[in-house]
Amino acid sequence: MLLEVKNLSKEYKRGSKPFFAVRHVNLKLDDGDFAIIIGRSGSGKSTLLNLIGGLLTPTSGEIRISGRNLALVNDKEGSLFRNSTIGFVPQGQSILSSLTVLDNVRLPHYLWNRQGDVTERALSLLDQVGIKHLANAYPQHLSGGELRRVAIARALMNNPRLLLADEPTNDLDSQTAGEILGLLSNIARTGTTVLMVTHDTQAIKFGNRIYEMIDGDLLESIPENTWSKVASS
Amino acid sequence: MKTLTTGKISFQNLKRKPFRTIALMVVAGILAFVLFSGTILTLSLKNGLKSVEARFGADLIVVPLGYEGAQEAILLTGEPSYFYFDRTVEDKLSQVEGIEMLTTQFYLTSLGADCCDLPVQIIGFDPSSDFVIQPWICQRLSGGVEDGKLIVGSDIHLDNDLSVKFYDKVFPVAAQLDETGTGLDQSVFATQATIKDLFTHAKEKGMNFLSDTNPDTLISSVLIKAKDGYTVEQIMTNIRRKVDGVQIIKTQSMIAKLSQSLDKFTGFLYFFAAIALVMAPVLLSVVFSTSANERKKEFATLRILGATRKKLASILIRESLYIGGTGGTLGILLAAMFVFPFSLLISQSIGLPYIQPAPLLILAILLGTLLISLLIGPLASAYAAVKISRVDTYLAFREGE
Repeated sequence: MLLEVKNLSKEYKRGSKPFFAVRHVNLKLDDGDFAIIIGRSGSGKSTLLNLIGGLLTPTSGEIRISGRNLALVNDKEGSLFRNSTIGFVPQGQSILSSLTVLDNVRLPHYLWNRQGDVTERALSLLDQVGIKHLANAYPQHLSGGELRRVAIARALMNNPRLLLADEPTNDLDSQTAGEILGLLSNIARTGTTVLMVTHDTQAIKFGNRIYEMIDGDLLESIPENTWSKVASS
Repeated sequence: MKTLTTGKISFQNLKRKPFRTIALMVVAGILAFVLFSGTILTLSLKNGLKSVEARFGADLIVVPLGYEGAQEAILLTGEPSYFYFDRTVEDKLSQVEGIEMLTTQFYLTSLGADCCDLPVQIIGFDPSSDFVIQPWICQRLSGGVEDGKLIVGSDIHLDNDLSVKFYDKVFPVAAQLDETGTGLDQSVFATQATIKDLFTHAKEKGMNFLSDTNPDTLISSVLIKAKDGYTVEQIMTNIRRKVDGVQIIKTQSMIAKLSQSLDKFTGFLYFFAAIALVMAPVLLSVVFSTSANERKKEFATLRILGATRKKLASILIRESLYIGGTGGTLGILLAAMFVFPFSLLISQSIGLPYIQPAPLLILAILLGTLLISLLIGPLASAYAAVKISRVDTYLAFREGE
């Protein structure tokens, strides 16, 4: 098992009232799974993804990735683990404007002072996501879809075992969104576990495990007839 | 292809924000300019003052009435002048109580010579009684200066055959003196006999102002050394009682006046340096802090990719180091282009003697200024670096949306 989430909760306070963004969530994923969590805006799906990615500290519960308990690592160990084991495609624009597309993709490799030239690998990843010709361009000259592809290529740079994607098709036209989902599906087929959160029901047909998040609760294998309700929200 | 180091990431960040980068470099550059030029100017002027104190062997200088300013200009800034009174003044002064030694000087100006772009001051001294010039000539010339030869100040340009031409006559130069930072650097010294020779040639060249002048009967100044047990004030009173039509310059007051001017000037320099030292880090810190807020999403992205909090701080600190280092270097270069070539002009415009510090000391000041410029950046960005490293990645990324 690659990912195991046990009884995970994240509690915030609104005024003096506590509320659960994520409530007692349990989740297990294996290598090569393409899991999709759908849910309304504010349902807690991004919070769950960031907890799994080690960017948020849970109030309670446990997250194990490749058997490693994320709660028991310090900043340095956690950062290195995130860098080498988890690929993250954040929501919205996350490409560094001061670097070229190629350097953005190469960046995760060099963040930990690794030696060796990874230009060839970065170019191959850009080729894989279909934008090799933009390698030397700066992010401001790219469209939203192209930027999302750069983020995916960058997330794959260090051969992560787990790829987390937060609304990767948000703000994209349906054709580009379909291409991005196809890309993520292909990545899962190569053995990388993909966990994606979205409110795009078009995505559901690409995943092999589908979940729904409602008010912090994660519901597994939602029935097909409820998809339209999610979509209409 | 080159590896993507923290240095390159920081450099790229600066490169993509040229206006902000240049503005920050200008702030660091102004600080370095003020510190470097201010320190060099202050030390040069202090050296100049020390040199004046060391070289003015006389306690009092007696000149014709109304020529106090001209005499001070000759000694301090090398502005050539000539004025005379009757040699009988020397005899009268020798009778004044409290005087240990006295000697006379005779002044001429070259009105242009091959040696110099501007007219130079020619000072004739009496080797038999002189106690002011000869002690420092002896440092260069053990036997003293022969008649017919000249001693020249450090700023006088010599011909290849170590001679200098005045009034179409070539005079051999016996020695060139070390820099003093005073007007004496632009002066030429000659014995009484040589000055008469120079005087004759000047007259032959038709210098009309000399028509009524005779170096046998006239002198320009009398330099006096006080006897132990007498104050200069007592001697001044004694002189006033016996000699009319003269002005007495107290060299200590001249030095005190210089010292006051120097204090005033260095006070301004310290004031500007203090302002720059306070303002530069404050300004830089405000800009770094503001830009750190604007760049929250960028730093959150780096955290997502696996950068440690320390790495984020090091990116920001490195940016500030580049800014401090480049701005500081440019500021020092500009300051060097200002203080070194224009040192004479600076000295003349502020009316104070000026001697640059030794090259090793200049190098130490340069390195010190560069170090301060380099430190000021990280110091100013420290708060922003701590703030950015403590930021909640999830919230920072969402705030940047």
